[in-house]
Amino acid sequence: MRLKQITTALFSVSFLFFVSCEKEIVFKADEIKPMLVVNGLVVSGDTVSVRLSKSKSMLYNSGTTLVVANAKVDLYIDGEFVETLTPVKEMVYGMETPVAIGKFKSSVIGEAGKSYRLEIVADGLNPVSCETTVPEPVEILNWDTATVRNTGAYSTSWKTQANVEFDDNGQQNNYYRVESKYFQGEELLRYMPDGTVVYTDTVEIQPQRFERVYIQNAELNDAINEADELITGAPDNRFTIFNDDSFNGKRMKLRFDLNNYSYWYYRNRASDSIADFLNRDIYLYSLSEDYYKYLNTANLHYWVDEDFFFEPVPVFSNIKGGIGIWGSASCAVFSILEGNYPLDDKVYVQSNNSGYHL
Amino acid sequence: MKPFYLCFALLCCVQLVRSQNVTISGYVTDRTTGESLINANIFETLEQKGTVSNVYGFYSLTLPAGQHNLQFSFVGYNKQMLSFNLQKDTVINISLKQMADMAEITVHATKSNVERTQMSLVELPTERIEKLPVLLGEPDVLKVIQLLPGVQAGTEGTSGIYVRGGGADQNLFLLDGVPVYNASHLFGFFSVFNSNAVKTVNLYKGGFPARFGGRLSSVVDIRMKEGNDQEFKGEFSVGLISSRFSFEGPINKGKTAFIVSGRRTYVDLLAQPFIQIANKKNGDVKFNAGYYFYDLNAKINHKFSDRDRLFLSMYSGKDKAYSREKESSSSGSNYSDHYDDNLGWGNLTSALRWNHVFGSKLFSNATFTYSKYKFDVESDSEYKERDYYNRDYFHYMSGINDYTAKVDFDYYPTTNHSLKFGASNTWHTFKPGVNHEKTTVDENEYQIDQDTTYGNQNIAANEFDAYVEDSWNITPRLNANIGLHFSWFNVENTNYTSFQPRLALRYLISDKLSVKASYAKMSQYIHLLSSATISLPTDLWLPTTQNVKPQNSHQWAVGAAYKHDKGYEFSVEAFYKTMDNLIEYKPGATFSGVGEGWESKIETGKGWSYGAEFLLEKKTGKTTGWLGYTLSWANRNFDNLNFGETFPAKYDRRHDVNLVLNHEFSKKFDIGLAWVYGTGNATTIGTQEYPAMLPGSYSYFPEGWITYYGGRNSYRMPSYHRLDLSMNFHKQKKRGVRTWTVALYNAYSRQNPFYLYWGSKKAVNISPNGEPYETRKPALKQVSLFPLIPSLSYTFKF
Repeated sequence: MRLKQITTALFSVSFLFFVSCEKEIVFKADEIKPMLVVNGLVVSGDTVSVRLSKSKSMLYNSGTTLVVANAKVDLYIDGEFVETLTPVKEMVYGMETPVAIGKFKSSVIGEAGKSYRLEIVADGLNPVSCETTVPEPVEILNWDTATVRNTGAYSTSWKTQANVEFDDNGQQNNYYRVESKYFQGEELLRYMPDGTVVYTDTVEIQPQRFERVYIQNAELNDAINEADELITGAPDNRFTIFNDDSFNGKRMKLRFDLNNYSYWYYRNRASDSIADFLNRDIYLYSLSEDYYKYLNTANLHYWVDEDFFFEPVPVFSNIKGGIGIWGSASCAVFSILEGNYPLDDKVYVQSNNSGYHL
Repeated sequence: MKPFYLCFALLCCVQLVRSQNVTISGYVTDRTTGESLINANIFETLEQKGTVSNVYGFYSLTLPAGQHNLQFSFVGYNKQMLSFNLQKDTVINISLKQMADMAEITVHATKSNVERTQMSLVELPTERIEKLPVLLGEPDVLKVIQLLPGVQAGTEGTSGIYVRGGGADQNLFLLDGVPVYNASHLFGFFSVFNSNAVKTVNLYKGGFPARFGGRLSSVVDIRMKEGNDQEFKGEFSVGLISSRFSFEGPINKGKTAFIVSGRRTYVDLLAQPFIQIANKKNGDVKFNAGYYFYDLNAKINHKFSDRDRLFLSMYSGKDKAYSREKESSSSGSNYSDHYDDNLGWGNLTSALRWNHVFGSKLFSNATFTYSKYKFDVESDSEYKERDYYNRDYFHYMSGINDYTAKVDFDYYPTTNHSLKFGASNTWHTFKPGVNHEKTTVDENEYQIDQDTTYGNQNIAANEFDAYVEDSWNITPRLNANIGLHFSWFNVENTNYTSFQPRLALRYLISDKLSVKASYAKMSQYIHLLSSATISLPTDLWLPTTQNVKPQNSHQWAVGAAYKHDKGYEFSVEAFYKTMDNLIEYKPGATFSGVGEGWESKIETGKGWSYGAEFLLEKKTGKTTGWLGYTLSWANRNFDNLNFGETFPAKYDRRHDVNLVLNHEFSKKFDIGLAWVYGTGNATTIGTQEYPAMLPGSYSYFPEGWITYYGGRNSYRMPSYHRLDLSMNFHKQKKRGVRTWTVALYNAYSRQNPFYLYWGSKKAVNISPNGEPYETRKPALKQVSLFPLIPSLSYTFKF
């Protein structure tokens, strides 16, 4: 990063002598026709659904999504027509009755190995089609964790190191994603009149949240980080995706870290509460190739943004006639519990606050 | 192709044994300076046969024994006629005298484009370069080249060139035959070629003669002056941001001569008083920063005899930017804090050249050259406070070193054949980047002392080239230049070879009109990894490897040239060029700097370009100049870029117009004008937005919207146009001629696009209750460089 700072600074100083001005110019592509945007993910075991909207000009001065509610969405499984998806209505802020939000739902549950194709027609937009085949889930052979002190940090903190083993299917290209969701419980305190503080029988559970996963296998991150650390910095693998290029057909030992900045860690290590806990659900997804490409290019798209030194990165789409993604995934999951939960002699209540991010 | 080469060899043999002839040979030079005259005409008026001098002024003409009238001519010089009875091989060295009245012919020129077999060639004598409008008082070789049809400029103000749809790395810059890898100063605003030291510039855009190889799109062959071997001459020029000088003269009159020239910018020096004033106000903080570049050219040559001549030339140029800050306090906390950042890059080239004439028909040139490009950045920061000490040091370095041994021969077997053949070997050492980091922390019990060096190993590669070409007068009207270039490249135990046939034909329909055609295959073994958006000194030259194949191109061109009696020349050329194994960064990757794992960061693909170029020139008279127009297309196709769809090259430019005029009102006053117009560059910019579907993530993600670009380089920036003017006021002084030059760059201050981005602007909305309120709306913004820039310079020639 240092080189980039120096180069940019000196480059900027040079430009100060020469910069003429900045002005607004006419955007000549304003007449471009909006496209139908299809966003949907078929997950094995979950109900099939899709969200429809339409793209808007860069000059469109609003952050609202232009939902497409009047579409006809036909679902085909393995080439056979199954059903027309039903529009979903929900309550929206400012409306007194439920309204269509551009979401269409099926009665079908996603299954690994099956192909799901959508044929969509909407007024005023080009008809589109898209197809995805749900990958087989991975079988987690083994996993273990260790909590260690985070030596890279200035203050005292801990991190959880996790290892997950699974076999990669060498017959095909495979794409993966690892995700962690956590929820934690905090035993409530009562402040006594004499100034002392005692634990109560009530444990407050905060809502489940996502947390950052740090993949430690360098070869997996390299596949994502195309840019150079020295000059531009490397993009984060923010969606924690990886492919099997470096371990095709072999047993993979995935290593990743989870930072333990949670309230639970700070308090539990300094107190004698036995009811505080931290529960993590670790999801190992197998992704369809298209969905992997979508996430990979989106990761770079946001990282590059409008950096002068880069060519912009277009985001992959597999929607014929439109834009967006129709992807699929299967997942395997395991949980890591630190602390004790549930305990028979405690009362668990849901917290009203939004909880902490890790 | 085999039958073709067999016929070619047989025809050569037939010509060799044809008759008993005698040969006249020698050098053509300038009488005043002793400089050799390149491409001077030597014409036998009875036989109606002729030849031209080579780049060292040597010529050879074989004629039947007997009476001959020989005419030596070079535009701008008085013709010289010799009549004699020729019975044996004879050496005639001719020195021509410049015309006294240069008003009649203000621009030197050589063989007319109508007569020349070579097509896609533009010759630029240094006089022409110096008469054109300048940027900040600096005449610039490459900026003049940008004014020629078929050549596109890169971003605003830069001196990079893109020839016939090729890339910035596909141009071979030869300074006295030595490749120069980074041809620009100040992030590309100026080229490294100091016009004071330049004698001629030849730009080849296609139809490449077999003697050239190694780049796909162009050869810029720059020849430095040799030095005046008759008398001492000099010149200096003082401009707003830089000064130049050149000095030349004989060491041993008529035998040994030298020329030395230099240039340096002094923005850093001019800024010093302001920095000092600022520092006085800053108390304990002392700051200093600056930027400069310099060039130094030197050349010495010695004539041992009419047969032997030795040249030693060198060029050294460097850019340096620095920034320093020091803060200290002797009271209170008693600390000192300083940082020192340096960024530098530069070229060093040198050539030792030996001309030897083996006989009247064989001229040889043996050359040893060295070329080095180095980029380095250094950052050092140190903090001391009582018991605490911290130092961070960082140094990054990359570059390329070339050693070349080369031998070239010019052989003139008969009047109708002029052969050139030779071979060269280059030892490349690519230095893709080494980092040195040092961190020292000393604080009571806490101590760190890390010293790390990492990066890529140097890559050694060997490149061998051999060529043969024959300039063949098949009939008085039909000329051909037929050649073959062979190259072999060895890197990391991998070998690549390439046979590159070259062919150029010219048919003279009349003395005023000719038609031409050419074909050339070119191969390139090195690649430039550069930023997608702008050329920077961090750009890395890297070799072809096992995984990254050599670039190849095939170019076909046809054209016609017409010469009018009143000094006008008109030419038109159409070309079609294909290129393969082009490289681009993968999406999201950018210029490397460190080069680590660079092969995995690039995509390879192909490109093609086609178009037509029109050039109307006036080379003589009080008004000279040219009007050029180019209509062209340049496309790229990469399997993994733009989702496999074809996209326009970044500098694809549909229309390009250049008008260049120079008018001499009197010996004391002349003006120059250049007007350029070009279709806007292709760029990638968002046209629409749509909602994203990203998985739940930690913290602040996901973003809600994705920008849709509609394809790589699918948007056109506004068109580019600019008018430059210059006025030169000359006056003869007692000891020489002084010239004041007043120039206006971008005279009508056109805001040309440098880059575009999406920003916002103020807007007024009406709330539901009818109240107006201020808000912001999206707006497409254009950033421009270089408004109207006046400049003034003073030049004195003595």
